[in-house]
Parts: sequence; structure tokens; C-alpha cells
Amino acid sequence: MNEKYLICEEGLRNVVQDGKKVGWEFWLRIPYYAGVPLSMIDHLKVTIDGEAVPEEAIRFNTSCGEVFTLQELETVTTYRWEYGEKARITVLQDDGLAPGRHKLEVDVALRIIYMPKGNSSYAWAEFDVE
Amino acid sequence: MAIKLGVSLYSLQEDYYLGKLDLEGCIERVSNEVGADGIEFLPDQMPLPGWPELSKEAVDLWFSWMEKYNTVPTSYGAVFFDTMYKNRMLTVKEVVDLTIEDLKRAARLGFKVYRTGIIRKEHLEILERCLPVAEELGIQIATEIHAPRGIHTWWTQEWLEVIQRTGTKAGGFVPDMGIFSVSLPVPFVKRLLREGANEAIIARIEEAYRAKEPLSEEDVRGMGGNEKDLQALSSINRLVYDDPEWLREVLPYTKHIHGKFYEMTEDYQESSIDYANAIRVLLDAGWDGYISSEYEGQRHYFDIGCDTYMDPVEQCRRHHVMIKNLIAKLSGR
Repeated sequence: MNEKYLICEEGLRNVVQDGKKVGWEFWLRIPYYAGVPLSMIDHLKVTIDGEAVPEEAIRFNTSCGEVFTLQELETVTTYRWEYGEKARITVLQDDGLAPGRHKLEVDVALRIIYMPKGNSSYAWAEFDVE
Repeated sequence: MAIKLGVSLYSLQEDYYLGKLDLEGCIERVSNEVGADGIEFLPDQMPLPGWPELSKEAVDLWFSWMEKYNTVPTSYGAVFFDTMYKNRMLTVKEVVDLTIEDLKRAARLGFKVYRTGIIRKEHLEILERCLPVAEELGIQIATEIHAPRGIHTWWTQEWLEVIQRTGTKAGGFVPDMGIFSVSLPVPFVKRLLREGANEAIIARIEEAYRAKEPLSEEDVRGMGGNEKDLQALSSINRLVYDDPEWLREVLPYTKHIHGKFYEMTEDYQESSIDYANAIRVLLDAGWDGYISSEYEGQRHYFDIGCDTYMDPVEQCRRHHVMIKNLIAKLSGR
């Protein structure tokens, strides 16, 4: 659902800490028509330049500044991913992304009761990274 | 006019999703540009400040908008959280507790209809257990009659049985006009064609659907159909065309109708849904309530690479013109 809007126009950026690239990030809208508690995220798979990102490297940043691994998200019922919210998704990766063009792919699904087969949504985009 | 017109803010979802409109902006458009007063609201889609807590300030804000734009709350569209946890479904009691809290929020915001649904069998028990609270609050728990589940299926019939057995005044239905589908949604067909489906094969799939002699996968493959044609077939198999006369069985328990539509043409036609016969039955039955426009065609333009944007306000305006035209024609005015 909402494929062309899932990956936000902010693109891909390296995350720099203490002068060192420690990962990269992008912004993602919800693949649904409403907001849900974060525990209802069923999966979030990220691929960069054709390589699957290890699940444990992915962080979901809430709008109130909390940071969760995907496994931790399973129990987060008090914070929500709101409809239209651009959630910042961080991928921990030493040295970040090399300058140049990169292809980002995302497969994201929520657990929605009337979609028993899942509502997995796939989106991709290419961005230049400085 | 016994049939009143409103808009579900669901119709304006794309502009809200992209940050072009906020909740107040959506209400303003419905009032000033569509020219309707009935507001259907999905709080989990366009939450009030502090949601799901509902502060007095948020309630005051809501009513200040209703007054400012001369609008009224019609139906409150609830969302299901049964699948909150990965390792189990919520229990019946957990969902009852959540639903009672949600009913209270809906009533505080002035809604008379709480639109929910029956997806799994447990929802019958859950909603029945909520009926006494709904009666106290003066709000109707209305389950949506929505494809692929029509009027003559257990989802509708067993809730009807609960309403009649208990004699409750707080149980009812929200029929969705999509249960009178005569073809695939027009914008969905456009998407399938963009993606490589065959126009002639889709036409045959739709003819067979209307003739109630649905094609099989083998039939479609035999015509040289590809995966997109097969997607058209599986989608049409989930559509519903109920006899509009059957509406009479649920109208005594219906205060609100979802005016589902997918695409209004410039000359006010929605060719995917049999509005004429449904409106005829509503008029004949003297039905009193809101038809809330629910524009759902936008999502068929959300594929990557598609740059079509449909103005939902104009779509809803045309939808209201269509309904007013039908009412005038069918009542001989």
C-alpha cells in the first residue's frame, strides 16, 4: 500500500558520529491508511545495492526520540507510527555508504487483522549520497 | 431530504499523508468545498492531539471545529488492534476493554455511530458484551457490511441475530456501497493495464462476473492471460453484488452508509457500483441517515512511477452531485 510514497524524498544520508561515519539512514511512511502501535510492525526488510541489511543493524526512531531494534519493536505498544509520519530508519554500518548513487529497497509489513495473508509492501528508490 | 450527505475524511487521506492538509484542513475542505456537513472521522488515521488519550482540550478543539465549519460528527471509524502482539491475538476481554474505552472517546466527540466490523467469530461476543455500555452512551455499534462479505453471509446475519435476540437499540450496520459492485474499480483496471494486463481479457472477466458465471484460472490462461489478468480475476472474485432489495433487511438497524466510490467522471458517473438501484431502495424505504462519501480510488495511483494525482475534494463533490441527481430522478423531482 502507498508504494510511491513509502520512501521519503529526504533520501539517503550517512550518519556521522564524532567525525566518523557509523551508518546511514532514510525516512519511511507507513504502508497503511492509519497509524498503529509499533508492535504491529510485522517485518521491515531493507536492501541496499542488492544486499540485504542484517536485521540486527536496523533501528526504528520514534517521533519522541526513542530508538528500538526490530526485535524490541515487538513489545512497543505505547508509541505509535502515525499515518503520514516520516519515521527515521537507521542502519548501523561502519564507514556508512560510499559517495555516489545507491539503490534502496524496502519490504515492510504490518499485522492487520483483515489481511490474514499480510500486507507486505515493497518500494525502491535511488539516491545520491555525498 | 431523509438522505443526508457527508464525507469520510478517509477520502482525503492522500493529502493528509503527504502533510498537505491537517485534520482541521480536511474538515474545512469538506464543509467549504464539497459543501457537506456530515463528518466521518477515523481517529487512528488523523489523530487529535495527545491521541489515544482524549483530553478536555482536544474535545473542545474538536467541537470548536464543528461549530466553525458548521459540521456534525456522524460516524467514528474504529481500527482493530487484535493483532497488537506478534505471539498471540488479544483475548476477548482485552478487546472488550479496549472497545469500551474507544466507545467512550467516540461518544465524547459527539458521534452517534461507532463503525466497527466483524472479522473473526470472537467479535460477535466482543461486540455483544459492549452493547450495554453503548446503550448508556447513546451510540450505535455498527458493523460494516463490506466486500467480500455481503448481507447474506454469517458476518451480517449472526450480528443481526444478536441485535434481534437482545432487543438492543445500540446495535446496527454500516452497509458499504461496494457490496453493489458491477465491475472492478475503474482506476484499478487502469493500474492493471499500466502493468501489462490485456484489456480484452479484463472485459471478458467482468462480463462473466456480471453474468454470475465467473471464469476460472484455466479459462483466463486459455485466453492467453498473464499474471496481471489473473490478478484481475482473483480481485473480482472478492467483489460482491448483493441484490439491492436485500438492503431492506438491514435498514431498520442502519443510520449510516458508506458511499464507497472509486472514480467519478466529469459527468458524474461511477460505473463500478450500482448506485441507482441502491438509492431507489433507500428512497422507497424512506431511509433516514447519512451517506458518507468514501473515495478509495486514489490508492490505485500509488504505484511507483505513476504521477497521477486525483483531487479528492473534487471527487467527493462529483459524488454528491451524482447522488443528488439520482434522488431527484428517482423521486420524480
